[in-house]
Amino acid sequence: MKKINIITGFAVLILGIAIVGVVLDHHQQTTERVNGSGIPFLPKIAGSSGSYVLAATFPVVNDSYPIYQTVTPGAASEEVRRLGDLFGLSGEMKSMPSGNEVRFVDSSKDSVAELQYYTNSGAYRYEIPEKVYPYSTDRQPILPSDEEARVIATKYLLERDLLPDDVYFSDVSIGAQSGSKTLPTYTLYNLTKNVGFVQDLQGVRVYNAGITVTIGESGEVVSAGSSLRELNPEPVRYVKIVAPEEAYQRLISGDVVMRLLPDGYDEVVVSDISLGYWMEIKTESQKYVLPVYVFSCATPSGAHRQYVSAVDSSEMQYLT
Amino acid sequence: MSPKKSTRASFTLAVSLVIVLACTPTVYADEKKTQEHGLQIQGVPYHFPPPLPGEEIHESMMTGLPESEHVLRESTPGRDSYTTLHLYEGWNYVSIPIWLEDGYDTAYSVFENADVSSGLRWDATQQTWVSLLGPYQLTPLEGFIIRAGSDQDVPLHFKDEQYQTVPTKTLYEGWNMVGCWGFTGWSAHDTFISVDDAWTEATGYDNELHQSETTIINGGSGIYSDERIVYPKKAYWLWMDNSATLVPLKATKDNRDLDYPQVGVVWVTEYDPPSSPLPLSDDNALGFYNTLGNAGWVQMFEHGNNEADAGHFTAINEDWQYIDGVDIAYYSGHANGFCLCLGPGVILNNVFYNTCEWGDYDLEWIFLHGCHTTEQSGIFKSLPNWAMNGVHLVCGYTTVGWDTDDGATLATYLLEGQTVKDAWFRAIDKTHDDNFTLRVIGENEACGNDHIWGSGSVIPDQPIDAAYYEWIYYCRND
Repeated sequence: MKKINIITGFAVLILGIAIVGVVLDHHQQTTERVNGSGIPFLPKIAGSSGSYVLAATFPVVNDSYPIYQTVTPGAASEEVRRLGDLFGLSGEMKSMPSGNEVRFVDSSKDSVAELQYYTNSGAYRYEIPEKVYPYSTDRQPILPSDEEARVIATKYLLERDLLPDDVYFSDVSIGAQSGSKTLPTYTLYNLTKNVGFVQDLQGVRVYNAGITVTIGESGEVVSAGSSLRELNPEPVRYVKIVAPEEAYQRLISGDVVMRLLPDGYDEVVVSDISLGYWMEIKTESQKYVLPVYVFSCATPSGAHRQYVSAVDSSEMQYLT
Repeated sequence: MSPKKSTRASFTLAVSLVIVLACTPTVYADEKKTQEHGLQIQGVPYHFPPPLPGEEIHESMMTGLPESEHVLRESTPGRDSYTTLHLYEGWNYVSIPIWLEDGYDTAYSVFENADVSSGLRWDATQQTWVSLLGPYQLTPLEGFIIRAGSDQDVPLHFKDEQYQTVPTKTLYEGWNMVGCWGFTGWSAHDTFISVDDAWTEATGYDNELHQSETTIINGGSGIYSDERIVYPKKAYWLWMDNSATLVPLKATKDNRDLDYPQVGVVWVTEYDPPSSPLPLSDDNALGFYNTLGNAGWVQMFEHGNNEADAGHFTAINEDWQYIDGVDIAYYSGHANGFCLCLGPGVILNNVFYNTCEWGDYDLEWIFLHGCHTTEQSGIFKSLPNWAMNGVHLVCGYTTVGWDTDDGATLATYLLEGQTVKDAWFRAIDKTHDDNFTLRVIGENEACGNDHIWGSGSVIPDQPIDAAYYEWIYYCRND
């Protein structure tokens, strides 16, 4: 019996060594291939949230890009009334204590409906809260297919003239889930689907804002909203941007637009780098919409994006 | 009088003196003097504690000396055992640590067989001494003074643990005489945290040496530091700039959540590399804390950076008087799927979820504003400890999150009457895009309907088992 154990142990050890060897060899090949493509080989670099590994090519970008000025949102009361009519709401308006959000709650329906309007950005969201936010259930609600969801959402927006020309369909994804874990059973139900729409400015994607329509059971639209700010169509000016390599260094040093909360990543793999425009959080004011570099990152815990300002520091004096 | 003399004799004397004192209440008339001497310690106006009846104010030995020459007269615990109150011959500043059993809870019943000659309590509304009458109920948090004829131990009979509801005490502008709850001494800073905005000075009395101890200054340092310990069964003078309710830091399942809902927050902005600093963490947590506080919630603790202590979260340490000593708690800082990272870069200061047992004391809801905090829902029911040990809901992130200021919005939504889970989803969704996912874990499905105290229904504490329910919300771009 002991002999068998020893032989098994050796076999496992040898297999382990073999696997490590294959992995190392593959890693080496990968890095060589990357280097062969003209990507600077930057092994793990201690950054603000762990060690970065570059596994993407730096994008080819222009020296300068246009920036756009936002249009100050109109009077909140009129906008809320206009949007409320579009969504068939009636009720009372209420301002939030922070002063930059107005809510319009319609309690006259079986399910309370609500409109939120953000005075600093013009962003809005209509929703039926009890159907949007995950609720408890013991059965799978009947949801439309992704394609059906896309059609329903697009039609819903077009009927209300809420889909600008430069905004296009992006994807359909799960919006909310709920379920229980009772060992050994784990049950999780999909409750809604989100249909996303995004905006391009002269071919460059806008981030941190968009239009979303949420579809609930039997294809009911339970929420629709937009955080896209109205922009003057003509660029204010062109600004010089930093090279992607410099932006990468900014990422590593933690000079990011929004700080993340993770801790303890041994490794953050940058899988893609692109240029985009950044729209501020909808509760905040924003004068100019500026270019950012978008780093798609992968960690053992999943993927996330990091945003780094692309504007050259020499330009900032003109943007206050 | 010897303690060996007949109890009947001493009791007779005690009662007779109490009656005499009741007829001739002593009014503390020297308040003006404390106000007008102009002495300051560490920038705080110093007030002389009221003197004992018939005595003049004892001007502090520090009066007139530069602060550098002040000496420490440290507060020390009494010589009490668990079930006794030790009295020294002469005046004693004492208090009752927890609720006394019915029938054993009056001045008469406690000191019936003791060698005492008189007793007084402090009427803070009138700023005057009044007699401790025989039928007067002795309750926790209230200090009083007893004049003993000899050194002795007075037996105390406590209620059973299940009847030890958390007491509260209204404190008034000026001097108040207070006691501490429980059997362990804690820092003045922590003990008086619920009245932190109002108290400025705390002064104990050494019953053995019959002299005042060095004053503790709220926010003070050195010998006046509010990190100095205050002890149960003693009584302390507490100067209040205005009225407030004293609620003990250490709580139990007290059934008084609706009357005194309590909030505590922990935040970290400063981290050592490679972790990045989180400049909004403090605004985030304090926005939550102050919004609830302004709505009447009792603010129990707000610990940031160096004060953020893993031991305040974990079962084998002090969770029962911090995270599990409040009804609602909020953490803002770095985290991952296994632990909260309280920094600054020290693994020993990480809070591993399976070292926690939240809810076996007071906690109903906890918000974990950090990356991946609820990514692995099963970890809250994994050994060696179930972090979900009575807590109704744990709210966190499945994915990474941003360093954003969401606390005030969340508290506002909660106070409006939104359910706890919906308020969490809505508040975070407001500042995050479609890159982020949130998850709320409940002891069971019914916990999902919880509102906070005073803003809607709250389900009774549920049976605890290995099962749980969860709700997942994907943040949106709009």
